Amino acid sequence: MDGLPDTSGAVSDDERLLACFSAGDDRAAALLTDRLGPRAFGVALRFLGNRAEAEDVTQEAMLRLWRIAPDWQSGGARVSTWLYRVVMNLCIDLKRRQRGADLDLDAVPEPPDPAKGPPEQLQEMARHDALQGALMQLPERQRQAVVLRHLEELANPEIAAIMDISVEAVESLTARGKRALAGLLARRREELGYDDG
Amino acid sequence: MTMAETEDDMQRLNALFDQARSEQSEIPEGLRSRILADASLCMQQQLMQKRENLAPASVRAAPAGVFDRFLNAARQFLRAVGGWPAMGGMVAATVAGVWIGLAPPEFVPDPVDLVQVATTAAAMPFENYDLALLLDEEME
Repeated sequence: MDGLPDTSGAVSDDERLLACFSAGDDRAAALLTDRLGPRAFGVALRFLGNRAEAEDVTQEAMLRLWRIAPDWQSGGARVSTWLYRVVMNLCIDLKRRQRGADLDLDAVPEPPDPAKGPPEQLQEMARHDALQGALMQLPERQRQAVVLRHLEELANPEIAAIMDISVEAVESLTARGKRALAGLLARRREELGYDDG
Repeated sequence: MTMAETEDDMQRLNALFDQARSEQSEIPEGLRSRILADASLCMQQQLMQKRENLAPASVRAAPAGVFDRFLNAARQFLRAVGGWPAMGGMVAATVAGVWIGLAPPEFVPDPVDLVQVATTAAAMPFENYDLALLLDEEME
């Protein structure tokens, strides 16, 4: 997309690998999977909060990448930006098709049993799960923006291209999302061990 | 909630983000296998499509052989008579005609009688049987 920071080394590597794939090099498929797969899966998992759904979305997104490979126009959008956008759209479509509450109860695990394992480890797990649970309570657009900004560490212009909104809208969504998350987690300070002073 | 508590909450949230980023790992092995299987299938399909796109041009460039010309003529004849259903009717009519000729039904007169060639002595205008036969042979 126009205006994105130039990281020509990484961008051209993905495009070169995609061209090699189109030419019939299956090693390129493995390399692209290892470079892009974890990022696609991580974003899907954080947004959906469900591992099986995240795997399905990731597989579908990569399949669309393989299909578009012969027609990929070099010098345009980054491969990673395109893939993030596909993942996000698939996630949103999935959520729309699902019926029921926005909060996927299966995605928020039960608090760990304090009787098992070292307290510090359990506390870490609890905090990890608390973050995911709080993310699932955000409106979808805020969740998207927060995941892409603070977990994937993408720049605002790239997030704007992925979400098809303005940079100002991205900044507003991430700020509101982050404030909402902090508020949700504040209610669980004691449980998460944040009242040590 | 005080301003200090809010800032503390933001710092804790940032720490949780740092922890979450450090936990990102490889994709599950089963997922990786499925992605690569999809890639392999797509690659094969795309390579086949490329070959198909090239094939018609190379075929058109080659001159038609005798067999190809025969096939073309056969197709043109078939189109002229009205296709396979019409061809089937023609074949059936031909077979029926041959069968009637070889084994005609009773109500169909003997074609030989229709020619009115007499071979009996009563019909002969001449008393000499040999001369009648000679005339009969001339009429065949």
